[in-house]
Amino acid sequence: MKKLIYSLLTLFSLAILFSCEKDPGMENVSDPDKTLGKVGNYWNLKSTGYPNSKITIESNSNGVVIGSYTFNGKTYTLEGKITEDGIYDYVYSNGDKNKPFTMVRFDAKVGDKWEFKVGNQTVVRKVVHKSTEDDTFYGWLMIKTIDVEETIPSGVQVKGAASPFTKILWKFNHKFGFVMATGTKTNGTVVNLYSDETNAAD
Amino acid sequence: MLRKTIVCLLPLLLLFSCGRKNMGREEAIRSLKVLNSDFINFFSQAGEMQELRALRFLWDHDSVPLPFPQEKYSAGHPWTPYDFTSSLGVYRLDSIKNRFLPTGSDSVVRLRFSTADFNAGEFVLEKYRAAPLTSRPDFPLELMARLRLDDQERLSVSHTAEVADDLPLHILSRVTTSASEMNFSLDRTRDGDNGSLLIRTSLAQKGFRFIDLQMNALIGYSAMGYYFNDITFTIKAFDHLIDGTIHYGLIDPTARDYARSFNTHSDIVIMEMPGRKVAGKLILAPNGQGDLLDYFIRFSDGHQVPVNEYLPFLNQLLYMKL
Repeated sequence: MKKLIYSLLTLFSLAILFSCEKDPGMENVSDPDKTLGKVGNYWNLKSTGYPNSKITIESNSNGVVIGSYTFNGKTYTLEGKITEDGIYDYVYSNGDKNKPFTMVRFDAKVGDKWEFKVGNQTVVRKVVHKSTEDDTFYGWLMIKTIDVEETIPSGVQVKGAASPFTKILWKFNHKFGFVMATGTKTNGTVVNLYSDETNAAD
Repeated sequence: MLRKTIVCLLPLLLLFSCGRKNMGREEAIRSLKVLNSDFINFFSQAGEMQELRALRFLWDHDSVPLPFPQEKYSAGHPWTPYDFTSSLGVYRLDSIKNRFLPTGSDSVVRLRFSTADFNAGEFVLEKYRAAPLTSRPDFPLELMARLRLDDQERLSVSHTAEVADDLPLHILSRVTTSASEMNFSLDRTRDGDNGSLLIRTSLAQKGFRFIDLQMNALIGYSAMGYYFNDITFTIKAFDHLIDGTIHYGLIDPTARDYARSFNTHSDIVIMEMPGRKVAGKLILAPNGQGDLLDYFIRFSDGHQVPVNEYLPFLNQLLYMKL
């Protein structure tokens, strides 16, 4: 179970920190301090039954961000790219900056999707919901979200180990960034990871 | 005149002598079937080895005072490193409780157990030292172990390694039994954000080396570890040779036609030795079920079949995504 939480944390941090498909929004970083990737931005992370964690942006070079979090006695460092238009990750390319994978674009529409090939398998991220009104709790606030469903074929590796998830439903907000991730295991077990505090919107 | 003729013919001679000779489809199918049989026989013999069954028994046993159970995540308990010094002693498998229980002191970790395969098994971990890594379980730097079954020395393990940048830098491992030997080595270099990786592994039985793998890779470094730019490898397995080059950095994982990108930037051929006649080339192609891709073997006449059809063992390896 800890491994699951760790995997979700890793993937989430990817969400916050990383990469993308080659779309024009990826280059749109006029001022890194005006993006969710501003150095010092943090997200408190919670998952029922597990110690709280926190991921903090430690550096930002033209949108390429590095952040870290501590979980279960180990410190994990993650990289990604955050622009005015979206969040991109390098998780499936092990950090190769030439191979970003779009996690979310804030101007995306329901049905938009992005694909990333790992061997002969395809990881798909698809926008499945975009709020038209404030419908999701964030701490004591109600906010809008863009929901991206990630489908992971069996056996695809994340940081050297097979991903324990078959699906992850990501919820993002253009001001707060990461809101929530719900990971579904191969046996159907569901793990939630959510953020209830960030300084990204300050 | 003669000199001029030789100069003109020499390039042609070289061209023809260095070019790959292809098998016809029927010959290639026979060759692939032979390779598959060799692997199936090998795996089935390895599966019957008492030594490996004993190691598997220990591996599956969560109560063994060895490093690997500590590295398995368990809910509600923070990760803790393996403490070799505090684990020293003699342990015996309690068949009723199905746990290894300490029975005495020793200068090594000595496990005594029995299974349906043998009456008296003894696994001894003589040395163990590991380096802490920030984001992964500790990495073993030194390990020496041996296995005795029914009072016979059956297997020994030696392993040394160095770690740098939170990643293995050098690894040298050897597992030997009375009849077989497995060697593995890894050497990684780093120059700024670029580097190289050299991996060698071999399996030998009664002095005959029947599997020999060498992989050279140019890698790039990131905060998350490293990724591959270029990979070249040769696998000598029984009477076959798999020779591959993958310009991994040039393959676009988000390309609309990913198979084309993969095939353009890779060249993986399966040959039979001696003579190095090519049985087929490994490619990626749509499998006819929507957009799904699969690995295929393309014969010299252009006909292609799924890898699974003639080399199911290789198909399983490809799906392991090592």
